[in-house]
Amino acid sequence: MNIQKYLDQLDLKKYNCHFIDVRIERTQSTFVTFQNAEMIGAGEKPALGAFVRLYQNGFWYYSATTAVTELETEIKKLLTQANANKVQTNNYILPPNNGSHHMMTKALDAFSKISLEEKLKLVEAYVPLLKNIKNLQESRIGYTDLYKEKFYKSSVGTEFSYDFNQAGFYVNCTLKSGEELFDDYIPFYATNLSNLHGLEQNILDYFEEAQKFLTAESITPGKYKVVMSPEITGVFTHECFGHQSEADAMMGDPEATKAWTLGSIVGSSCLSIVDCGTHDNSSGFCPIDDEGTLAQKTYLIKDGVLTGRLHSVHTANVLAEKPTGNARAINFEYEPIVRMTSTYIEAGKTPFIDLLKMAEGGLYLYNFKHGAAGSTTFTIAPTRAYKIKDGKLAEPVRVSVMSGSVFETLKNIVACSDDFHLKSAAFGGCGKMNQMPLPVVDGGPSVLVNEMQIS
Amino acid sequence: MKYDILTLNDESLSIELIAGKINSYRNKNIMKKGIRLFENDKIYTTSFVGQITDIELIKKAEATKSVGVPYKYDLPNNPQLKICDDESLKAPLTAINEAIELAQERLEKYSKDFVFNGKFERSFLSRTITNADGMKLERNFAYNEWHFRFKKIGSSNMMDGYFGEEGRTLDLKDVLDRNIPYLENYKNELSFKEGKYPVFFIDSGELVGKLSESLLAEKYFEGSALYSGKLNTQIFSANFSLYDVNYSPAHGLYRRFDDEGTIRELSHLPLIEKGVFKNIVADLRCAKKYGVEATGNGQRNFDSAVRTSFNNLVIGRGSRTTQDILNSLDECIVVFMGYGGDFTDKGDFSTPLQLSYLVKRGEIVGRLPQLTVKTTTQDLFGSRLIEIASDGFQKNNIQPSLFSEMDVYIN
Repeated sequence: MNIQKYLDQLDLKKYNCHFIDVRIERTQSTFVTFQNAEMIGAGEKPALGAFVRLYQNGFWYYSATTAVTELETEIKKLLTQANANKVQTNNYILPPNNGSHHMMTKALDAFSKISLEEKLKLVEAYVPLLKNIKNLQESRIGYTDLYKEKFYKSSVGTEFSYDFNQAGFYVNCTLKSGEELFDDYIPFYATNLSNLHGLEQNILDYFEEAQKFLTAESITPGKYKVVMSPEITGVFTHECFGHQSEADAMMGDPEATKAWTLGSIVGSSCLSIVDCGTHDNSSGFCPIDDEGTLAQKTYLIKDGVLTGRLHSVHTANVLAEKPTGNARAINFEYEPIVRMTSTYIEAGKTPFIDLLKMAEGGLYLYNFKHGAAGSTTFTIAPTRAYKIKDGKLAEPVRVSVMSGSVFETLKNIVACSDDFHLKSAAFGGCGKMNQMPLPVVDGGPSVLVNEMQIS
Repeated sequence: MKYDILTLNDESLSIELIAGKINSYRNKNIMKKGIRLFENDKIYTTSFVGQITDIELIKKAEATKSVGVPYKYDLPNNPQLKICDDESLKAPLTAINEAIELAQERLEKYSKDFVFNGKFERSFLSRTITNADGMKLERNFAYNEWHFRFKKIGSSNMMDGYFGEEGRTLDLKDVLDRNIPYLENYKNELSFKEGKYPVFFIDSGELVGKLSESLLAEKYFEGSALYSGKLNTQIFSANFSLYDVNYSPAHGLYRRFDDEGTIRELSHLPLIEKGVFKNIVADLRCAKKYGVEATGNGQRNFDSAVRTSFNNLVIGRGSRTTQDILNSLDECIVVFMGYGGDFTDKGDFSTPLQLSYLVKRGEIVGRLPQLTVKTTTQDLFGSRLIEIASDGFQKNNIQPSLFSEMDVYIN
């Protein structure tokens, strides 16, 4: 189906309706899974669907449909539903016509053009490697990719199309020695399949280091200085502050902006946090959001001062600020809500070894299983943690959770190093209001926090 | 040619509320199909989202099959079972509006102090598995869910608390009756001393996380689970039992057949009984590989491979009600939000408590500061288990309330 041609012919202005927009998504995804060296799954997952939004008589009406050639029928149905519910007036301030932006640039490298057999060969080549991992008790190897084309048109005239292409590969091993278990996972990300070849030594080295954790003791709960790796900094930025910056949480609460007044000091002076959807070849790439607002670099915190927040058109209107290109939906079944794209702490100037010296008696957190936020307290569950002694990484230690207060932690950041890294991920993603997983990326430099609750 | 087709139909109306008022209506009516072709001891999988006939889907699968997944187990012998909860399907999708009106009415008086944002959804769901040889497994039912995230006016958080329910029928009055007394105590923040306290999570799902790994055949037999090798031994308190429940219409659970076509008549499969490790769950592949019985736990989405998973892990009920137990405890921490925690591979568990209250002899004293609790899987259901109730915090909860002593730290 030629989606662009279909949308070109779809006249959204002819309806007697305050606002309409249409988003069509065509995706092709594949997966391969091995468990204990045995293939247990492989397949292709094509999907084509549309999401229609209509604002009329004071409410939004949405329809998620796979009948993408019958969108006029869907619009008429929604209009009928809306016109039967005339209880309010239209108070949605129409977005401007943001113009026409067509950015289909990845078709040549699309993973959908590579056969499933070739992807299987890639994964199979890593299976014999498992025999070289000491103390291996159980293993899982997975591959996934996604090629998505997105098309959009609104009644104010904005239209866009762009494509998104990514793949991921992981090796997950459970190690066992005596009664001691340690489960760890090494993921890889690529926008070109060739980047997923030749990773054998990375995998072996990774699980060689993992052996040390089999004999690691559990941490004594308490408050510790913590040095976060770029990966942990990323999830910290996302969970601790990114979600708090999403302006939809402030809707319906006229007092909310007082706690987050732009211009107020919320972090230490070395701290700058950014969200930006323009990082191409990353899992946070979103050059234009699902309402047709172009991506931009938004400073959420600049030198410790609160300078911005993430918006859809609606939240920006309510707070009299500008849309930031952060209205995103996970797929055609959902409406866009305020979400992050690429979120990170900007690099500092302190060398990593100096961070360790400043964190004597503390902990270094290397990678994580998951993070969570939403309330005053955020959490990160690390996989690998090390004690810091004599300014160096010392013995590994097992930690369930690192947690802290958003406000206190931002002010407790003492230094940022110069080792900036964005960690893309093809597996998992961000979850919010039943929309999970949304591809995002986060990262930053290694960061020293003066005090965190560790248990 | 041998095949099976899994068809999912999801028709729903979802209504979003912001600050207690309706903001949007989302209509969804989507069909998703997944086909598995069985040929030369391999499974070829293809899926489709949207309207497509079975014949078209079979042709598409034939045309695109490339990589097959080897299988060595027998397939179910063309089972047939139809589960249709006609009563649940009687009311239209718009019936969810009645629940919204009731909630708005009850919460109006609290809107000066709190913002209530949430969602109400009613769905007609159907899942069928068919093949050309007469296999026909089908379940049709309606499902409802709603929740409110509440936020104190002026709070810097995305949310300060949460309540809601899901299931075949809603009991809004019960949910609100049980949650509002705590909401009224929200502003009464207490100071607190660290120590050991009885703790009760109103949603205890996360607590069985580490234990559940040991109940999966593959993890168990590969020796990579905490309780590998412990079948038929006493591992927990005699007061603790755990079941895999596949059928409980009152809770919207109709999984008498799994996604491979295995039918399990036993609705409550005992996994832990009186503290003794009794059973593990297995899909067809794992059952064959490890020489155990397939338990109706082969699950897949229309576009994914089969994996062993639980229908619903439910703790065995005790004899006293939740309120009776609360009345009998000098002090108890009641946890409304305790998310983001995790287990180490040793079974140590820790989680922050984002929203919890102190209850003394059944009376709500006030809201506790941000705490962290720590325990272990072994202690949780073993030596530090206090009691399991005969009911849940809300009438519709399938999970009974579990009280266990934990170490409590102030963040």
